[in-house]
Amino acid sequence: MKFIISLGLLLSLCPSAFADGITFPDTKKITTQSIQPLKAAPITQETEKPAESNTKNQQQVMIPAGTQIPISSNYTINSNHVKAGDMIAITVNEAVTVNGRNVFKPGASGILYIGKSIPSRPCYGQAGHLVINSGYVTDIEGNKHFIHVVCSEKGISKRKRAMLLSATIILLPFGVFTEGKPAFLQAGRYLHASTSKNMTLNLASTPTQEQSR
Amino acid sequence: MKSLISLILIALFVISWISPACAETITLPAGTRILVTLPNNITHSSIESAGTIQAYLTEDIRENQKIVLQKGSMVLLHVDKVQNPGILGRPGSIQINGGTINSTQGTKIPLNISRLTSGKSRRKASIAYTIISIPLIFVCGIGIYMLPSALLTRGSGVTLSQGLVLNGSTASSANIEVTE
Repeated sequence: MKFIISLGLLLSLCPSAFADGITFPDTKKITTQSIQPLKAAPITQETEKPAESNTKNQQQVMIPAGTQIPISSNYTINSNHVKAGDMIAITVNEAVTVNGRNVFKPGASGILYIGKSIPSRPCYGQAGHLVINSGYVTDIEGNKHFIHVVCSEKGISKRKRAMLLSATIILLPFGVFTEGKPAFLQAGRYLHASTSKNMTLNLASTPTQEQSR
Repeated sequence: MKSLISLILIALFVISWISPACAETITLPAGTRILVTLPNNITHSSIESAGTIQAYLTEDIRENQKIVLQKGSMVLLHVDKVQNPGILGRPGSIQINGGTINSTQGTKIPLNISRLTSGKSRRKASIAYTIISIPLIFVCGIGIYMLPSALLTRGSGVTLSQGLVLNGSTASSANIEVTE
């Protein structure tokens, strides 16, 4: 009798184990929808771990202003296609540690603000110009840190050529309407950013850099 | 022995009923700021009105210290209007209005996201050349050649750059299941 009850329970257990409500550790939250052509996608999983860990043993870590963060643009940006105030996506390239604790994971996301964008023009070989000064990156706890960036990209000017052409009366229109090259911020190009102000992080009991090795 | 197996099975049965309760449901409020990134260049010639553009979530969306929408989640943006560059210096333009984001459970959350991008207008130049060319028709013959080119001057096209981040927000609140 007990054996029959057991079999009945086993049968009722099987379908419920495959119900949507249960999440197995191996299949956790990874769907084809979330897989995009973003380098940082797998690293997102790592950033969740500190949030899941025990919060009883929290440690405060102060990230001082001026902390260097290596970042890069995810895509090539053309000065002809963006304007001042636009935002572009960036990624943290390497882990940043403060007092032996990882505060920025490689692959962490961020934003850069376009400070100035001059498109190339068909006017005496005018080249494009792209200036980026500020933005923010996200730490392992999801806080945003404003950063300073020094990035000034210039396209190839064709002014000399335009002037030479203009000097000859017959080729004057060609000289006047010569267009320079737009400025590009190449995808994956390393930029050195630094945090603009002090910020304290309440880190959960995450392993230190040495422990994680 | 059979009773032991029975007990184990009963325990497993109870656990299987309790497990779904561990998945917490978090309400993502309406108006939550969302940033989406365009993975490809979008030009006026590559899309049509009432079409959709695929994008992805730029950064994790957290609520109560938990990630409710993961970075990289697919976003579909609705293209409201596409205008090709036209005569008299009219520029091309792309209007994006609204979209949806898919949560990991497959729930579609509507987004308030709007952006109008236009190319460079050459209307002033076109009108100026037209005004100049009309008297030149009567003064000398060159105006006959200038007038059509002045009228047919087109504005520049428009390109939404890859890597561009658009700012939006959730249009309505959504309940999202987050596992512990």
